[in-house]
Amino acid sequence: MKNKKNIFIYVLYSTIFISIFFVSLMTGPGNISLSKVFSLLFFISPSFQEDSIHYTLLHQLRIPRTIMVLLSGAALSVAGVITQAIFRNSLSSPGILGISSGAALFSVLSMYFGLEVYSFYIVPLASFSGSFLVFFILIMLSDKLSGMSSLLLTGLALSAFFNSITTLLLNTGLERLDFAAKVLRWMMGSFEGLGWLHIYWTIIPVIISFFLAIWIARDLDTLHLGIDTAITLGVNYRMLVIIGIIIISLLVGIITAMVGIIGFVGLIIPHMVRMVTGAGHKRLILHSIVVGAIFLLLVDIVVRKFDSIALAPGVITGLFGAPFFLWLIIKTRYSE
Amino acid sequence: MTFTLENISMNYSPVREEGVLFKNMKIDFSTSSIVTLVGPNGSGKSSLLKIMAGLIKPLTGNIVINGKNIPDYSHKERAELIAYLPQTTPLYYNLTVKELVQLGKSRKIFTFDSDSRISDELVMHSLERVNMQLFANRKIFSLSGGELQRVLIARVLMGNAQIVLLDEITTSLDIEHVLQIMDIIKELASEGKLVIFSMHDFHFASEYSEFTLLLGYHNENKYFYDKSTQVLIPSILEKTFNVKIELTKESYRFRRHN
Repeated sequence: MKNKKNIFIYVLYSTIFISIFFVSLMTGPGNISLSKVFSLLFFISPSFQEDSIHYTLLHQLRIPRTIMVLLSGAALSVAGVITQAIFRNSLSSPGILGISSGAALFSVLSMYFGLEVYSFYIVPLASFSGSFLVFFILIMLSDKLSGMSSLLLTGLALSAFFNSITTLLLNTGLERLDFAAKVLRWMMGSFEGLGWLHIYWTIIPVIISFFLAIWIARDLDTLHLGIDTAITLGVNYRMLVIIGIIIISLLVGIITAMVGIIGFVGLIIPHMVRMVTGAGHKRLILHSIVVGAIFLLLVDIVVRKFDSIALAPGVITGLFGAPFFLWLIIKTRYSE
Repeated sequence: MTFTLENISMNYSPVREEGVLFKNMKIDFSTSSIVTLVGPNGSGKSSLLKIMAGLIKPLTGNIVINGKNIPDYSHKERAELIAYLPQTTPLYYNLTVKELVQLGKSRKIFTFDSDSRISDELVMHSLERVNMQLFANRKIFSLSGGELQRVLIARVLMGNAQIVLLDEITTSLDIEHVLQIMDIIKELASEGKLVIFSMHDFHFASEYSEFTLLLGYHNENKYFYDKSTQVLIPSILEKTFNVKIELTKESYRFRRHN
């Protein structure tokens, strides 16, 4: 029976995944029909004038964008799973704890000082250091913080602090229009202007992180019963936390550097998936990868269908995510 | 198996040298099977159990198992030797009973292996020992205090460790469940395991345990370890707990239905 259920889920996932992938390739300015997408993908080389434009559009813009969105959705969801496991707090996520804000601030800082002209790698590295730093602060404080709400409040304070500095940098750099535009882009998230170079840079840390996450999945399971029990079950807790920090910093760092802050994905997806898979981390991680990718691609399709400048992906995830977060808080209260 | 405490000392605040909990504790548990740990609140019962479990470092001294200090064992080896059940186990997610008990199997750490390798049989066997086999698919948040405590003990039994440390696991339970758990402890001891558990009830302590370790005792090292019949006597308990104890003729003895 379990096998049947698994097969059903695989079929469901693949069907949704493939259809939404093609919908994504069709959506956006310069409508490309499904048959054209197929022929441009598999059959014809760019020969006619019109085809050539569509070919470039598809191969240089739409496919990389779609892949990048899938990667971001999967990465942010896994980062959410690991964050909730390490802090043993199902209301936490990289966004809520300020890890994303830290990453964004450091990216913006590196651009403020014009460092990105030296190398394409500067912004991702800065972003990674930002998320690493925030996570480090949280871990240092977590001994002193007891209970769910104090951790969340600390995250709130940290993100308010980092966002203020980001806003300050934005205000002082307003006369540099390209800088201001970039910062605004960061703060709401954006999938505009993503190319293959971005994917090359994102895919390696993301895949490494996914492997690390599945590798520590069983150890994360023991944290369900608290740190003391986990340690007496043979878990090297310190090592586990360090690997967790690396995973989250890598994922949040690289994704924030590429597409900016997209909140609530890391909160919503682990919760939705947990309802189906249960709390075991291996299944939770694998399913979150798929569901997170599909979810964010749906969001991006909505963004492209409508006005993509006013409707940033971060705005949409926020519109859905914030009420969801409220509902979670109320629900958690009752079950306590 | 040998299990000895060598010169273990601990303070309230290990950083500052004040508030001695116990000093230079030297005990050889190798010949014991059931040991109760008694003492007033704040006398260091939980701290001592955590030290024995290798969770916190004592101020001085070593815990030696089979001739080797605890820190010299790998995480996995230690987990296979010592099982520990804390006073309260935080529960974050509504796992099923089966999932929770499965977590107790000591595992190869950092592995891609799937949990399904831990056989259902082993889980069911552990649950049978605490008489909870019918609850295997129930969610843990729906269990009563006594049921949950037994499931947590089943979790401890998964590992088959030789040393079992239990921290006040009977405190919130009614008499029937206390008796059930005491019988499980007895059974573990009969398999050759060493069970060390803390509790506040002297009746059960004297009835079930061969040896008693009293903390907060009024001597220089602040502990007293001997046969339970030597430790759990009015003259010693009165001083340690600062109460008066009267011996009355009538007293009740509780037993489980067979």
